[in-house]
Amino acid sequence: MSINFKKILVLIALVFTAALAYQFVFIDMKHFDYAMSFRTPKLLVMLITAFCIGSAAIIFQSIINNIIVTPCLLGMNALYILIHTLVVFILGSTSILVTTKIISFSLDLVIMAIAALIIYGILFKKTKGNILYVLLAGTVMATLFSSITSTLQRIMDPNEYDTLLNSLIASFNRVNSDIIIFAVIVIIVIIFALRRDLALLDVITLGKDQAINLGVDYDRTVRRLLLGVTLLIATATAMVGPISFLGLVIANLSRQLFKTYRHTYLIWGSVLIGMVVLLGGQALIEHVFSFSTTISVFINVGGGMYFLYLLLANRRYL
Amino acid sequence: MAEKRISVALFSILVIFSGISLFVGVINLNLVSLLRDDFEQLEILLISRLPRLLAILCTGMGMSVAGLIMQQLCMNKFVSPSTGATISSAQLGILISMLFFRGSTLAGRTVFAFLTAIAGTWTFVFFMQKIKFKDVIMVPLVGIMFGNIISGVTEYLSYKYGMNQALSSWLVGDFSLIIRGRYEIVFLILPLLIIAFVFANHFNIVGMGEDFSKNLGVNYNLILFAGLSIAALITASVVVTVGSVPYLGLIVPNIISMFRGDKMRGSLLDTALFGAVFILICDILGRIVNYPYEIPINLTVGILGSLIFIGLLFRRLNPKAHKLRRSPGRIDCKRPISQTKGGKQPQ
Repeated sequence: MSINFKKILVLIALVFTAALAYQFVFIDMKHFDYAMSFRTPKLLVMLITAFCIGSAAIIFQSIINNIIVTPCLLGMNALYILIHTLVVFILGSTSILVTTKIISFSLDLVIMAIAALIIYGILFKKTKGNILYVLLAGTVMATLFSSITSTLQRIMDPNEYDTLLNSLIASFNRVNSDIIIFAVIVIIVIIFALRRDLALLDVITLGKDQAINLGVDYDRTVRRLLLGVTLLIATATAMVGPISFLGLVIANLSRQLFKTYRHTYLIWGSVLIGMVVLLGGQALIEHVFSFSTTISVFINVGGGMYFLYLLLANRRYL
Repeated sequence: MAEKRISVALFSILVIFSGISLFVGVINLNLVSLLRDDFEQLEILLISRLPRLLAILCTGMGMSVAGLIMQQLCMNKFVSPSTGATISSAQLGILISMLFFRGSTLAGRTVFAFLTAIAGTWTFVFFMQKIKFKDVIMVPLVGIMFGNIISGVTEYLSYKYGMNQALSSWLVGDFSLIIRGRYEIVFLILPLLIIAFVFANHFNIVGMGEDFSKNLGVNYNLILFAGLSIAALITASVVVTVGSVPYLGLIVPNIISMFRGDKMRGSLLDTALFGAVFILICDILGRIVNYPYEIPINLTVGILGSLIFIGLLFRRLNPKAHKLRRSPGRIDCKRPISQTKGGKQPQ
């Protein structure tokens, strides 16, 4: 049993502890079912979110061969929110395409996939892979997307805005639990469709020339993986709203912990660390801070500092 | 002569749009009844429209000049109040004054915003000077992240003390609440602009580096921190009265320096005029698009500004395509971004 496998086992144990702690601590036995009806969907949503963000971050970092960039830093979650707002804005809140949550979610996913491939394709092409330019342009794009979103929200009919608010402004205290089953199906389909490409990730990390030399259809694989990343981020954002720095933190923690290039370990590590962070953080906020703050604030402040540290520590290799 | 023509053109555009701006709004103003001494119409003009116009002009001029000063002093074209943590520090200052001095007046908030904006900008630039990045892009990146962290702290405090809503008016730039008696602090910008104009050459020299400015007998640290303080004060006065206006200080100086080069004496006036024109047009757009409601200036500038910024970035990455079109004779060799002269006209 390798040392990394042991680490994975320890992480799994930690996830179980955190999940149990979150689910059962401070529970009033008289209202057990009632409490469960709140806590179970939230628990599931957090596990799914950690899975999406953790795996997407590692895959994305390996594709573009850089550890300080994650999809959310490039505004991918802002793009998803913009698309959802745009759909409600154009179709109106009474349209069947908007009222049925599953249909609305799938519509968002399709548009998101197309838009993201075009926009980020142009971004990578124009910047010729210069990572600092990608980051700066991506950060600005995030502002652009959220400015357009707020403008649309200001312009739209107040009734429609209400609908949007219900379906969109998800946060960890108000998760979107209607699409749990569908989200799980989406994730399984993505993983199944990409199983070959994921296996090639270890080779992709070697660089474009090496990968092609070893017989990988590089461009196609990267495009498919990027598509998968987009959909995973969209799923996570649909469920809990935008959290920018989570992916960055957990992906890098996983890389530090495992010190390997095997993506099986890296991805699982990142996913499990994400689960521990989210469950532990949410349990702290609900029971210790009694909701006086939100987990996104913690992740953004802590993650921002961690990002600065990474930027400064790695600047020789950038 | 060509340089003067740009200034004159900008000035006339500004006058025309200022006139338009006075007459755009829910209540219809018309010139005839104004001239006939219609009291009600005159009151609307004096209480709401004129203050709004003045606030817009001061904001536009102030933010773009603040950006210009910061870019010159830091020797980096991507530094500005929004990428240098100045705006977010000013917001934190306002929150602190609201939290700890419940009955604080506008003046009190302004003082706090001044202090924190100066402190935030100084800290940022101090680190930039210490670390000395090789890549110019690192500076704005670190600045944006630094600003994010400060905003995160602001968000945490405001959420904890239930001040979210009260604070939102300083987070989102908006001219619709500007009326007589509530905006006069923006006039602080005017003397600061004059000081900036007087010391323009000093800023230029400091921008050439510490050794160079010592050689020319300029006190590097004094001018550096005085310049940064002026930029921070201008930004803080805008944040206190209008709210945050992103990207203005970043884009306007860059566009002007494409035409006018980097000599601050020459470009300062144009930068101020163009900043005012840009924000005035954004404001009129924001008032027309969703008439009779308004879109806050923060959003219109955010959309136009980020598009232009990404455009500038891509231009910078592919300078070859533009070199061919550059007119001979006026070669600016200081920085790559200002080599892209002779491109498309503003607006």
